[in-house]
Amino acid sequence: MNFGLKTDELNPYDVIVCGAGHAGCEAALAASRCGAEVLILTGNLDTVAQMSCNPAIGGQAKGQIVREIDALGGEMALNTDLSAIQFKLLNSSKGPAVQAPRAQCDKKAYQLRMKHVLELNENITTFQSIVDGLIIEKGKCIGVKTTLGINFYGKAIVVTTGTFLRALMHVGKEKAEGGRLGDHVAKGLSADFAKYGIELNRFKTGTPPRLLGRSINFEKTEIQYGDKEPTKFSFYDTRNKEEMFHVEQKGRWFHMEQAEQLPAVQCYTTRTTSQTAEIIKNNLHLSPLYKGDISGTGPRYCPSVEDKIVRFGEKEGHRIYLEPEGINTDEWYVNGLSTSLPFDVQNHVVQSIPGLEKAVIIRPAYAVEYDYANPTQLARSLESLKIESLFFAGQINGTSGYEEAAAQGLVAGINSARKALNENPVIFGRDEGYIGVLIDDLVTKGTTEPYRMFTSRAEYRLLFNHTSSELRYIPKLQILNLVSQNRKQAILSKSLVVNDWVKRIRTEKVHANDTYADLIKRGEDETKLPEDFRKLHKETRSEILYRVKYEGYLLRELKNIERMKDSERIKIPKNFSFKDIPGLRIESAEKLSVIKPETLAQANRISGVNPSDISVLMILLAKSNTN
Amino acid sequence: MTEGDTIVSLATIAGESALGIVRVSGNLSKSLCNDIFNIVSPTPRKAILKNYLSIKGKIVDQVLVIYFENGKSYTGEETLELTFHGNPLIANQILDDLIKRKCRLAEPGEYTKRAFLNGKIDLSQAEAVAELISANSEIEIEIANHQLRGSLSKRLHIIQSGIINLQAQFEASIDFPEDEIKEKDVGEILAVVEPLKTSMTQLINSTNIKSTLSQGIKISLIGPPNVGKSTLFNKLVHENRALVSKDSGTTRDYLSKELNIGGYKIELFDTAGIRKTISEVEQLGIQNSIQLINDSAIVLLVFDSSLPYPSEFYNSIQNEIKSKTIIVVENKIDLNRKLSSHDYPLNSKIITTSMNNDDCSINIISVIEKVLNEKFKINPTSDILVSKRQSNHLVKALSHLDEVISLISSSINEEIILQELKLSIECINHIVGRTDNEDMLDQLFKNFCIGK
Repeated sequence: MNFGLKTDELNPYDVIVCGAGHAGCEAALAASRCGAEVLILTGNLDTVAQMSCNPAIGGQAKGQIVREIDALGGEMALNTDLSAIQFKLLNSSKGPAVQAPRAQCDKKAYQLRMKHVLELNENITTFQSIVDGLIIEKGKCIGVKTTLGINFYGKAIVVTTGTFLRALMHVGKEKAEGGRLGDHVAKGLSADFAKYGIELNRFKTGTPPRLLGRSINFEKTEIQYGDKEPTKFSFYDTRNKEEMFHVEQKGRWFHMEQAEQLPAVQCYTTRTTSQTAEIIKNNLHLSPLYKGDISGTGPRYCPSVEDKIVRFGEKEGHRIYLEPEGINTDEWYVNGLSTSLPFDVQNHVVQSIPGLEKAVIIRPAYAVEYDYANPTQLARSLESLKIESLFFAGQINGTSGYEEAAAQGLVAGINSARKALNENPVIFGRDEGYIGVLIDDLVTKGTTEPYRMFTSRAEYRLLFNHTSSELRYIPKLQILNLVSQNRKQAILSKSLVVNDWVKRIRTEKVHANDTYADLIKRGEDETKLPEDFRKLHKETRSEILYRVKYEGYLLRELKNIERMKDSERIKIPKNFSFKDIPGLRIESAEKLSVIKPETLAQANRISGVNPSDISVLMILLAKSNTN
Repeated sequence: MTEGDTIVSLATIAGESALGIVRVSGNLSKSLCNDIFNIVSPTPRKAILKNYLSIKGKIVDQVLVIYFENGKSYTGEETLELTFHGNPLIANQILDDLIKRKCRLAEPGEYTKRAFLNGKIDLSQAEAVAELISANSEIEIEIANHQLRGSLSKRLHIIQSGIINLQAQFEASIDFPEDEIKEKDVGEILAVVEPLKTSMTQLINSTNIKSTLSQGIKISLIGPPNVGKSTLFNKLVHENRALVSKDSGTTRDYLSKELNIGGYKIELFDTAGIRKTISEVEQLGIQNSIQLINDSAIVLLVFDSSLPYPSEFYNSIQNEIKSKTIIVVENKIDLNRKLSSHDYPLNSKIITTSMNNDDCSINIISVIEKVLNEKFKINPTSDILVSKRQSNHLVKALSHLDEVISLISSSINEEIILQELKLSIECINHIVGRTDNEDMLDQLFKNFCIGK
């Protein structure tokens, strides 16, 4: 039980989380589930779990991540399902491995519910205060300083400051300090990081203008309906109602009735015109991007509209999506129109688009530059290699996206709690899911643009279909207390059911020559299967069918994982010196010394490290292990 | 980095020598003993003389086999040592065959590495081993770079980026479903894949040409007895090497001589005339002649045009010459012609001549040169010779592309096609160096406007 705030150095929190965005919230929740007493600090309690950019969760690769977060007891999936106003399964005509759920959310509903989740958690204290410095003792982080002049002490600190570090916003030539329109900037932390040898670089990102709905002529646009049958993010088949709607049951103002589906909305699409292109070209010299005012690197997958016109022309126009920000507001997000052009040019650009001729901008578009800390300075636990007990998660690691941030928050939350409780870190492997791919990519390869997950980044993509998330993380659930006992049991029995059915369908004959599997592989549908198959939960059925139908391809992936694991088993000692190793090229030695891979497999993934370097390492590791 | 598989390499120099040794290390060793030599449970460290039976069931050579059990070999793994007659062609056939049987060509220094990891080399030697491996790879890299600087590198990079482009196309349609990526139809994809395949096939074929050229092109004189083969041989090599007489069956063993025709290194063989005989010695010579047909790139079939068509002779070699390049020499045209020429193999070149003519050899040499040019002509700017290791990786890469084509035609999902494309790229990476997902993403963002 907490009686107010603790500021005593001798009685520290287990974990302090700095920032309450998507990474911070999951970090605090995961740490508390692992048994830690958590303090979460935010500069503004009104923007907890704020969706700073588009009002949507999921999408390709990201949707799979959210389901993995749910498999690991995270909150993002539940929070999305219960605040969504449109669901869509992307790639529904393609194979199961690349289908991804996406949802438009009510921005405020999302945020308020997540805030209440934090408030209801007995192990978590929330407090509004800007962190502006670290307290370091003998290379170890033991607390944080705030602008209130109060210090807080923790056994482990998680930094999830998003885009707020030395943040600078651009609208045309106008500049303002702040990580988000209307919000503050964090300056002190950057200086402290630099002081302790943590290298910082600049990235840039942007967001489009928001429009007033009643000024849009929707008749000139095309309607985008959501799916009639929503694909949700959380696993309903392994939870009871209480776990599903925990906030709605216990929350002071939340009610079960609200948990029923929010009203569904439509989105709309339109296109840029040759006039749009004309306006942009004529005003390109006013864009801070083209003027050279912005030095940070922006994401290639999310270019500003000026970038799109310059690089790809205006031939058929570029598609623009109009997405509502919620059901209690008439604010609309203009997906595809991110820009840093001056405000008057933004108005001309908007009004050159069919349906938006009379549209009123109620929030301007802007670009934001911010500091990030190259993630190669982290271990796979997300603990800093430079300062002990200091963890990093989210956009500060050079990523972009709510989902990527939340996934890192979860991992940092787990490992910071374990650090505080003197337990070994838990590593998420590339073979387990997108979360492992994300973490390993970041700490092994670093990133030169804001990192977003793509399914192509996962070498075992075929195994990462979203319905299998819970089954893939069973080994993690066995060692971590992330879900209730009830749910863990339910997941285990689902796993048994899936395995049994796969075996049965593979071996049981329909008639003399054919097994059920033969029928499925030939493209027959599930109505040909035994009666009781249809009694299974929909998600369980699709998982079973996937495993049967794609058996050969999945086996090949499993084999590749086994091969990778052989060298993943060869550990590199923490203080292993890569210097002066005969036969190891200097260039490789330097890279290895910086990144400090934890296993031989990880070393092998570092770009520029050759197979012959790996052979040399392997031999020396064998030697040092024997000695 | 794939420990546990079975590796194979030539332990002796790659050229003519009295004997050659191929070493096999890994857990397939015992089953290979059974499959190739029919030795069910080999006695460790005991030499056994056996025929090497290829996977197609053909005898490659007589081989001395020694099996070493686990823990008692150089590498510490189960090992086979195969000693064969030191002919590069035999070495190649054996290596090829072992690869077909799931072995893999060893990387530089790999035997030593395995020996070390299995504790067969003293720990104090570890650093020396590391240096050795790195030096070996350096040499290999240097050789490769030397080769790669030229047109080979260009060709391989074109292939590599062609496949990566295709990969980017599929990945874009998977990862950006809301970005209006235009999907290519089957025809468009085939139009991209087919030229890549052709290019790869050309490179693979140049491996075979390379080993043939550097070792000399074998040409043999084959025919019934007493048709003038030895006379022709002497004329072509400009000396009286072969014994010539009017008695048939004079040549019992084959003779060979190196010569140069049109700049090509040629090994010319005079052989025993082929006929039914009861003489055991002559019979052995005839067997050799037939074997030589197999080994030769070009066969000169010599006939006596004053005799009827020798069907008995022709029947006995019909199978061997089926796929060979044939030049028919009808000798003794100064005598009355009784030979009917209806039964020569398809596409044969035919020369009518008489050995009594002084300039007959000039005519024959010019025909041979023409045939050589057709068969082996290398265009120095476009044809590239690829090493065996490189060609092995290309063969694998090609097979994955074939799979891509068959998957596309059966309209399988993109993510499955991509699995094959990635494997294909991985094979090529072994030759020209590593690419990773970033290279694909570079292509993707260059080619498609992403950004919903």
